[in-house]
Amino acid sequence: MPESAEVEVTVSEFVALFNQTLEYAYPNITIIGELTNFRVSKNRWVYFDLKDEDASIKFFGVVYQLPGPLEEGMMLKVRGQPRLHSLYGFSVNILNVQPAGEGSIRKAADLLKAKLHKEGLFDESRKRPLPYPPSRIGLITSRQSAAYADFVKVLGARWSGVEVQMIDVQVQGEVATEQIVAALEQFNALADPPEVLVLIRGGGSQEDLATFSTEQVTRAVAASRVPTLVAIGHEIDVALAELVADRHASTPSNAAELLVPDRRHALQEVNDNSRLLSQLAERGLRGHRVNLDQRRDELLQSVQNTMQHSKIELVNIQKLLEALNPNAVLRRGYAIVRYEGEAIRSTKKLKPGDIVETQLADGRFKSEVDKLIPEKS
Amino acid sequence: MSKAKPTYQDLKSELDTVLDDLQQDDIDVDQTLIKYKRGLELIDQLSTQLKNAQNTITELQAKFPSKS
Repeated sequence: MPESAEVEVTVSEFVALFNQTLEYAYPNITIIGELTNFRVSKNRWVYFDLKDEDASIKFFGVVYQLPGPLEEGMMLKVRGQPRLHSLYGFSVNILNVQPAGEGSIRKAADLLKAKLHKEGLFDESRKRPLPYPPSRIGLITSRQSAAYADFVKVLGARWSGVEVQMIDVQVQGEVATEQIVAALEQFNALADPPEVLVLIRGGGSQEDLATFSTEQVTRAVAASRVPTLVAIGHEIDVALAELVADRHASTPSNAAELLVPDRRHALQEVNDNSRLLSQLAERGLRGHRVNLDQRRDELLQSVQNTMQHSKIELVNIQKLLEALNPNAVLRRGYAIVRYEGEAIRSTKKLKPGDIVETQLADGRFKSEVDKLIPEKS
Repeated sequence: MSKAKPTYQDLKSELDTVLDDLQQDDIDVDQTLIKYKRGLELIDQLSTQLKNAQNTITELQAKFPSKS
């Protein structure tokens, strides 16, 4: 055997050995650099280089691993596995791509925003009304977060009886995007999904919140058949997921406020409405009541008129009757003369010697007829 | 078998007849007295009925007071 310790291998053996060594040394590594030579092949394969002042490295991956549209010159943070390809040489196989640095993050977000805007994903006409109040909420957030605590607290304080189904996800970092998309899909796949999906997280740096502006999360929110409410607690920019949501809120607490009414306000409203209803009914009835009162008065007046008329009539009759009272005539000096019990009007019924009875106002007397003296007419 | 209580109108009609009779020229004194007495009775009954009617009106007004 030659004393030389040199190892002789074939080309293929070298590639395998080299890759083995690389895999051992760098199972994966995150590299930051400026994007250049970016190209997409067959709408599926992605090729680009990252460079700095002194060096440049090739990267290879698939389209769905990108956070959104990219542009030459952007700073990217790419996690990947370094590999030596048997034909094409050295490259890093992409596992995850994120814009790096505020400028690039914003640039990437602007590019994605422009793309989705062109597709009409932000159109007002896509917005659906949220049920108010919903009976069941699908909540997607981190259970450990302050956002979760705030949301549940405000929700409970305002309204009761809302069922909250929760999927616990990470809201930042590499796995966040994947978990949030999966959670949205999981809720949507339920036979009886919640009435509204709520995606929340508290404030953070632009990099922390990048998940909520990725193409994957944004599209998953847009694709939800259940109406969505997204609230990312930051003040300056609005995340793209918020823009495509049916409704967005400024903070998790604000999301709870938008979802359900305050029971005290609701009660007040019911009372106000009830009062208003009474007033309207009262106003409507008043007219009729006035009318009825008038009718009532008319009725009474009519009855009283009839009564009055009858009384007057009766008094008049009484007077007339009084005038016809024979006793009144007697009191004036007239007399009634009866013969054999019958009032007589003529002397022809009498002869001298007949006994007649004469009635005066205060009594009667009997007398005998002495002589008949007919009145000459 | 008692007759139904005469209405105001019944009594009034009878009174009218009595008055008409009393104003006839050929009515005799005895008939006049009878009719006169009947007239007074009728007026008394009519007055009673009017008084009752007035009481009923007052009662009804109390039972259905104006709501306004």
